[in-house]
Amino acid sequence: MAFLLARRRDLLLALAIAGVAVAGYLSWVALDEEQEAACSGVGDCQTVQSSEFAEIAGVPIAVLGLGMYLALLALIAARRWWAALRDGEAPPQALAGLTFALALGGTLYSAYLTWLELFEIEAICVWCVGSAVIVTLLMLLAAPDLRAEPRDIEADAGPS
Amino acid sequence: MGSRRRRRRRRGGAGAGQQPEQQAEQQAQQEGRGLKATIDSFGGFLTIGVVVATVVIVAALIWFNRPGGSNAVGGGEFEYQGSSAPVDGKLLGALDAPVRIVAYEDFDCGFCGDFSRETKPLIEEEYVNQGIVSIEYRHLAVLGPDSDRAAAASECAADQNLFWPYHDVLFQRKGSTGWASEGNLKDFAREVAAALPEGAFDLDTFDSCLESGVKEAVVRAETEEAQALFDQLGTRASTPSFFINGALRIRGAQPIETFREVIDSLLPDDGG
Repeated sequence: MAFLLARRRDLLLALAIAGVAVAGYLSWVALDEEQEAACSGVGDCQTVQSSEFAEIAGVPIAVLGLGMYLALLALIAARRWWAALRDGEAPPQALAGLTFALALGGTLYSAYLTWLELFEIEAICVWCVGSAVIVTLLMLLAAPDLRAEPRDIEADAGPS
Repeated sequence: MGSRRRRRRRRGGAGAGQQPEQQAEQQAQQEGRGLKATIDSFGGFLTIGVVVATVVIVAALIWFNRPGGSNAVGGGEFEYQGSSAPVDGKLLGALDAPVRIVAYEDFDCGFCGDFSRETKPLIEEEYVNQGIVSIEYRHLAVLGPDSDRAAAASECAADQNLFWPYHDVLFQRKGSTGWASEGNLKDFAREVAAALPEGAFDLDTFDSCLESGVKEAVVRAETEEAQALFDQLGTRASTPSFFINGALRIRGAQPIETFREVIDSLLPDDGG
C-alpha cells in the first residue's frame, strides 16, 4: 500500500494509458462490424458489445470511454509535468478536481454498466470489467490530490 | 501570521467580557470559516461544482441507456394480429394458392421492415386469407451480425411453427446496431409468447436452439443459395426482392398497388 501511494503519480499515468488501450480496443471492435471482441474464453464480450446498451444515441459506449480516458490522460500528464513546463509553477488545483470528477463519473457509470452486464444482458465482458477496475483505481488514486498541497496551506496561513 | 494571531488573541481577550450578541456574531464568523475550510478540504467550489455536474451527467447517461429506455429497440406492447391462413414454417398461405410470392429479406433491412409492417398485412387481408396468394420468406442475410443472429432466431421460432409472429416482432423491434443481441432475441420470444395462448411457445426449447447456434448454418446456406440465384440472373442481390410465380418481379418496398397489379395479372380469371 505504501509503495502504491509512493508511486501514485506513476500509477495514475499508467492506469490512464491502460484505460486508453482497453477503450481503444473496444472502440475498434464496436466501430468495425467485421470485428468481434476477443474474450479468451472468459465471459461473452460479443453479447455485451452488441447489446442495445452498448450505444447511446448511436455512439458506442466504448468511444465515450475512450474520450474519457484520453481526457484523464491529458489531465494527469498536465498535472505531472506542469511544473517542468511552467518554470516551477505549481499546477492549478482545478486539474486535480477535474481528474477526480471525471474518474468519479467513469466509476459510477462503469458500476451501472457492470450491473447491466450481470442482471440485464446476463453476460460479462472482461474488457469492460477491466475498464471498470481501471477507472475505479484512477478515482481512488486521484482523490488525495483534492486536498490542497501542504505548501498551499502554509502559504494560506501566511508567514508566522 | 503573527499579526493575525495577535489580532485573534486581542479578540479572544475582549471576548471574555463580550455581550451575548457579540459572542453569537463571533461564533457565526467562526462557523463561516469552518464551512470555508470544509469546502476547501474538498478542493474548493470549482471541484464540488464539477463533481456535482459529473454526477448529473452520469445520471442522464444512465437515464438514456436504461433498460427499456430510448436506446432500446421498438416500443409499446407487441400485439400479434395473427392470420386465418394456414402456416407451414416460413410459408404463409395455402399450398395450392395460384400465386406464390417468395420474399428474399433481411431482418436488419429497413425497407424489408417497411414492407412487413405496411404492405404485407394488406396482401394478407386481400389475397392470402382468401387462398389466392401464399408468401414464402427466404433469408438473404447480408447486412452483418444483427441480420445473421435475427435470422437464426427466426429459424428457431420456425421449428415451433412460430416463424411469422417472430418475424413480426423482429421487424417491430429492429433498432440500432446491436439490436439483435442474444438477450434481446430471447426477450422478443417472450413478447411473442405473451401474445399467444399460454404454452404455445416453448421458450426453453427456443433458448437452447438460439444458444446452440445450430441455425446459423441454415441461414448461411439459404443466403448463399439466394445469392447464387441472383448471380444466375446477372443482377445484384438486394432486399427485399420478390419472386412471384418464379420470376423476379418486384424489388424494394413497393406499395400495395404494385403488388396488386402483378398478382392480378397472374390470376387465371385475368388471363394471367
